[in-house]
Amino acid sequence: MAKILEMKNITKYIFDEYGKKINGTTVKILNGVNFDLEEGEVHVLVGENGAGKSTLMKILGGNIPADEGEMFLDGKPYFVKGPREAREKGVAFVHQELNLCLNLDIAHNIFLGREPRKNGFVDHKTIYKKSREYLDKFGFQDIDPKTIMHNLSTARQQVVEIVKALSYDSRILIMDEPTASLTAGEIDHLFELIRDLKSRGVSIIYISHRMDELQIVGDRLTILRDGQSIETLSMKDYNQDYIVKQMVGRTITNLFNCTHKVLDEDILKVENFKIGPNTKPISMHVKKGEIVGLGGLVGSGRSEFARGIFGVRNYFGGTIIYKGEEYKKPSAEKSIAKGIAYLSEDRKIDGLIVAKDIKENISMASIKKLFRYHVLNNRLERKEAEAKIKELNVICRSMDQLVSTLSGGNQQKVLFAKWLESKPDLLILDEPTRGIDINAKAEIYEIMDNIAKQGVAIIMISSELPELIGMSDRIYVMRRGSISLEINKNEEMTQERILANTL
Amino acid sequence: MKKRNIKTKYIAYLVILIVACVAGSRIPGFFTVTNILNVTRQASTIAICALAMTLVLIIQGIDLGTGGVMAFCAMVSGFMMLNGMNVFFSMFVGVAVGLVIGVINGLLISRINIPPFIATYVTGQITLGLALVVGKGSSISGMPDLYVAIGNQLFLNIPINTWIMIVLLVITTIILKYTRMGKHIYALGGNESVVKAEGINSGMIKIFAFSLCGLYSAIAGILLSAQMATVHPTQGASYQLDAVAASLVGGVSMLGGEGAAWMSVVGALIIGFLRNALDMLAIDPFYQNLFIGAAIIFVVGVSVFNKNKEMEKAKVF
Repeated sequence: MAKILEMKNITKYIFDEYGKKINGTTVKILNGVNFDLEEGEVHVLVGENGAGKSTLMKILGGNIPADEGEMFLDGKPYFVKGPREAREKGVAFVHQELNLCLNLDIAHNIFLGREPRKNGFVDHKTIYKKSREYLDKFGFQDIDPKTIMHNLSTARQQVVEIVKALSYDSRILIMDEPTASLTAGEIDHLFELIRDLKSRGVSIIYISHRMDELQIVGDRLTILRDGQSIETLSMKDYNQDYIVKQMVGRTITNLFNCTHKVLDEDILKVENFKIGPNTKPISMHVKKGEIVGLGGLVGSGRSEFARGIFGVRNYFGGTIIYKGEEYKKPSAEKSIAKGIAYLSEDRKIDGLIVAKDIKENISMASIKKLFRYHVLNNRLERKEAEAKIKELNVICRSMDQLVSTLSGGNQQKVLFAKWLESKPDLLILDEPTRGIDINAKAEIYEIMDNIAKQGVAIIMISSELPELIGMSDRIYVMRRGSISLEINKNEEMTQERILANTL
Repeated sequence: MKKRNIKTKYIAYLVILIVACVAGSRIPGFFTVTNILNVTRQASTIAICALAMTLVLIIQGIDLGTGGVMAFCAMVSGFMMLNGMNVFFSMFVGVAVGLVIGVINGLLISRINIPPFIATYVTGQITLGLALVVGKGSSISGMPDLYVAIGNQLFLNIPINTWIMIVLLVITTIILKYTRMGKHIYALGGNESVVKAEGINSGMIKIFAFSLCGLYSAIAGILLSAQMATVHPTQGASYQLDAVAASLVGGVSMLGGEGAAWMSVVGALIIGFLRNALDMLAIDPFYQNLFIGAAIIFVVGVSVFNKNKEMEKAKVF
C-alpha cells in the first residue's frame, strides 16, 4: 500500500491559545514524533491524556503549526495555515467536541463557509440537494437535511459532523474519540461506515480510550507517551496488556482493588421516583459504605435520576428517604448541607470553573466553612486545598494554577477534591472516569475505595462495563428512564447480562 | 415537537395583540384609517430601529446607542440643510455618519473585544453629547419643506416612511436569507468557534452587522426629524427601548442565532399600536415606558420559561 501521509520529527513547544510558542519555554508537548498513514487503512493512535495525541492531530488538521519537523502528503511537502486549507487538501477533522452551529439546519452546517452561489445569492436548492446526496451516500436516508441541529440526538449530530468532513472529498479523516457519546447500536453503524470508507480508499486516524474498539476497527496502532512516538505495531500483534504497559510505561496490576465493606444501614431510599412524566417509577436503595453502580445507555435517564435526587432537576413524583427521614423538595444547597455531593458528567460545564485556579475550585462547595466573622479565611482555604491536593495526588505546579491548564485526569481529581471537601455522606459520581487515561483511572478507583471505607455511600454512573462490574457492590441497570435490572454482588455480574438489559 | 415550538414562540405576542385589540375596541377612533396610517407612520420608525437591532441581536450583540445615533445623524443633516445645502445630499451625509458610527462600534467590538453593550452604550452617549453640542443644547427647526414632506407625505396612500421601512425590510430579508454574509450572521450567533474554524472572518461579520445597524438607526433618526420638522437632541430616547422591545416581542432571540427581519417589523407594529392605545387613553408618556418595559419582561419571561419547561419534558428516554 502506498504511503499517503508522513510526519517526521514533529516537535511542538507548549503554546498559547493562538497556537504560538510561549516565549522562552523549553517544555515540549511533542518531541520528535514520527507517524505515517497508508492509503485505506485505519491507524489507531493511543496514549494517555497529555501524551500528545490531540496536539499531533491539531498540527495535521492545520489548527496549530508545528515548531519543528516536516510533513508530506503523497510525498510532497504538506504545509497548511488553517483547518480550511487542510480540508481543501483532503485532511478533515471530526472533533471530540462537536463543531456545529446548533441553530442552523444540517445542510447549512455542511456547507458553512462555502455556500454555493447563483447570481451572487446563496443557492439553497443546491445546498439541500447536495446535502441529501451526501447523507444518502453514507447511508443516512432517514435524516432530513432541513432538520435543525438542536432537534437531533448527540449521535446524529456526530453523524452530521462526519458527513460534513467527508463532503470535502477527504482522503484523510481524523476521528477524535468518535464513540464517546454513542450508544452500542450507533457505534456498530459507525464501524460499518468506517469499513465502507476504507473500501473507498479513505485513510482514517482513529483516537480512542476504549481499548475494546481498537481491535475491531484498527489496522495498525501507534503508541504515544509523553510526547514521543513509542512504537507502531500491526493489529495482528494486538496484546492489550503490552499496549497498556507501553502507554503508561509500567504495568498496572489489579485495576479494581476493592477493600471497602458495606455497612448494614440504608442511607438513601428512593421510592416510586419518576424522572419524566411518562416514565416508569424507580425504587432503589443505597447502604452506607456501598458502591452502587448505575449502568445503562447514554440517555437512559441515569444523569436525570442523579440530578433529581441532588435537586438540580425537577422530577415527577416519588419520595426520597435520606438518613431515615423524607427529603422533600431537594435543592443543591440543601443537598450539600445534608451531605450529598454530585460530581457531574461534564466537568467543564457544571463541575469546575476552569478559568479559576485549583484552590478556588476545591473550596467552592464548602466555602461557607471557610468564613470567619464574615471574611474569607484565605489561609485556611490554602491549607485545606493543599491537604486535598496531596491526598488525591493532583499533579500541578501550584494550587494557584488555572484548572484549564490541567490534564483531564487531574481536573477530575480537583472535582473530587471539591466535593470531598464538603464532607459528603453520599457521593453521586456521574461518569467519573470519562475521557481520562488509565493511570488516572486507577487512582480514581483507589480514591473511591478509600472514600467508601470511611462509610460514605457512592452511586456511580458509568458506561464502561468493566469499571461498573469491577467497582460496584451492587448494580442497577437503567433502560428508558427506569430500572430494568438489579444485580447483587453474589449474583452473576457479566457484561452480557448488563448489556441485554440496557437495550 | 415542531408545532409546539411555534406555539410557545408566539403565545406571548398573541396575548399582547389581544390586549391591544381590547384597548382598541374601547377607544373611539382607534380603528379609523387616519389613526391606522398615523400608527403605521410612527411604527415605521420603530420598525427601522428594530431591523437594526435584529441584525445585532442575532450575533448575540445589542445596540444601546440607537438614541444617540438617531439624534446626532439627524442633527448633522438638519444643520447642513439650515446652512443651505441640498436636502438629499444632507440626508446622505447624515446616513453616512450613522454608517461610520456603526463601523466604529464594529471595530471596537471585534478588534478590541469590548462587549457590545459597553461599546454601543458609550458611542451612543458620545453621539448624544455631540448632538447636544451641535444643537447647542436645544432643538433646531426651519428645515426646507421638501424635507418635511418626506416625513409626512403619502405615496400611493401609504406614508413615505413606511415605504422606506418596507424597502429596508426587503433588503434585510434578502441579506439574511440569501447571502453568505446573512448565513454567517446566523452561524456566528449560533457558535462563534465553529465560524472561526471554518476560516470565516468573524470580525468582518460583526463589523458588517454593526455598520448596517448604525446605518439603519441614522435613517430612522432622519425620518423621525423629517416627520417632526425639528431635530431634538433627545428625540431618539424612547426608540432605544422600543427597538429592543419590538425585536424581542417579534420573536428574535435574546440569546442570538434566531430571528428574522419580518419578526421585528411585526413587533414594531405591536409596540406602535400599544403606544398609540396608551396615547389615546391619555396615559402620560412617562408611564408608557413602564408598560413597554413590562411587556419586554413578560415576553422574554414567558419564552424563557416555556423553553426551560419544554427542554425538561421533551427529553425522551
